[in-house]
Amino acid sequence: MQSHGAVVPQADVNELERVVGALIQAARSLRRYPLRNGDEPMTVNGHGPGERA
Amino acid sequence: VTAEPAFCCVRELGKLLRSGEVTAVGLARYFLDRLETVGRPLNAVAAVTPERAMEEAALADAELARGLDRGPLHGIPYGLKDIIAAPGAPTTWGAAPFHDQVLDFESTVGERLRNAGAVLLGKLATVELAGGMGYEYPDASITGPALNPWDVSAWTGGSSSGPAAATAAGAVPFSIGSDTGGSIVMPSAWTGITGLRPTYGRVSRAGAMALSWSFDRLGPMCRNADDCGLVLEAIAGLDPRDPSSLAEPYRYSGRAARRDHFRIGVVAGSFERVQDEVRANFESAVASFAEIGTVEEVTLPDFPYLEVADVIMAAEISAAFDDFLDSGQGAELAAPKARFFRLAATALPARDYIRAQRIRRHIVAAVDEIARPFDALVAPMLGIVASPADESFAGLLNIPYPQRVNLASVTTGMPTISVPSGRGRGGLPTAVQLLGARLSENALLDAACALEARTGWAAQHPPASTPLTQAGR
Repeated sequence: MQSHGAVVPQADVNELERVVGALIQAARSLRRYPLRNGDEPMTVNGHGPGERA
Repeated sequence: VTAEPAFCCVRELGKLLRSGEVTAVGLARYFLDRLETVGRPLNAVAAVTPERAMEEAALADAELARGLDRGPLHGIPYGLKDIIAAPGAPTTWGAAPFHDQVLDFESTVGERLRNAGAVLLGKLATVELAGGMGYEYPDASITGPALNPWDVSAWTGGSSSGPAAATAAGAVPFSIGSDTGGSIVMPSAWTGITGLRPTYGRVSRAGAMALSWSFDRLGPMCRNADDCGLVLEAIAGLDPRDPSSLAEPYRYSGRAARRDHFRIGVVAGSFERVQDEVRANFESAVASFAEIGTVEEVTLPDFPYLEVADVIMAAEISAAFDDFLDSGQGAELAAPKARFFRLAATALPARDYIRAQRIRRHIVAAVDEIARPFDALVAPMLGIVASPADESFAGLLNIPYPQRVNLASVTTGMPTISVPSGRGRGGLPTAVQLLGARLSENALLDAACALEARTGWAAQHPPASTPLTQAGR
């Protein structure tokens, strides 16, 4: 495989496909989970909006 | 000295110190020597801090001499996982691109342990970037694969590999590890020590590498559950430097702890596809619990734990290392998987991250409802004993149920303690995990202490491989 004139080893291409594929598959599988409109996300500090840790 | 400190627990070392049989300086010298002679050959050591150790130990001796006793950790040496900053020592995060990084400030755990009189001996090895960008071989660390003190052809597990190897080998009395997806409890299990992943927010992460903000936790890796409680009490509590830290104060129940009348939930299906010895040891642990309480079967709610954790972690890690990944330095990481992390994370839409966080809220509510009535939900910690140090471990750890129980704790922020349960194939350690409701560390520690007292596994240690006559005054 050629990329910007450099040869990318097939092993790297395979690894890339594997890593990206696994994450996309995980994300897609979550779309099957039923959620209601009002279901709010946890926030980045592990707590809900407006909630102090 | 008459006693052998290498495998003493914190209370035993404290007795030796207060009886005058050893000094803090003598202990610091002794364990620094063990870090060099036992820890380094196991690839457990990132850097030692002898000047600081001697200064803190001398202070501990002087304070004890004038009647100032800071409590159970006074004069006790320890090590920090090398993702935690400490002045005067490099903090490499186990990764080649950060091999010369110096973070010249104190972490909150380091500060609190210093205030408790503990003596920092050095930094202990970690898998690169705490394994967050992926790895499948034990050598994904600038210090090489950490070797298991029970059998040096086996790995310790990761990513808190150095803390596990050094603690198990008697090169430090205790250590501080970090856990995002199992990095305290898994290596603790494989090396036969007791490791506590506290409630999310219980211990400040200030000064530690941020990997995945809503998952990262710091916690003790020790000889037994009692030591975990003593260390947790010293490091827990609100910290303005970490916005996730909890206001709830923590006091270890300690000697006033309950020793019976436990209510234990055995997670259905959690031991069906594990190695025979893991299963037999788990059943034996459950039988021990049945002698000191009631045992019921519980069913873990069916959620996509792994997928939720994978998606949220990928997004958070990508954000935490945004500049690093954009710089192209990811190509210098050891693990092939990690080198492609940036592209994988870039392919993840924001809506999927938010969806995972919405599902996570359902998981928290459901698992809390199951766990709340019990002192602990129990399952084998890992389905297999430690894997070979020179082989890929990909796929070995994902025996569904033990890993699902771990991931239930990972995604909900609930505490888990890994307790030794016996020996499996090749004489390698096996362990049981105790999962508790949020802020239930004392119930978990009480149950773990009671189990350890009945089985005696936590008191066992690998053969000491160096002369053990050097401790002294």
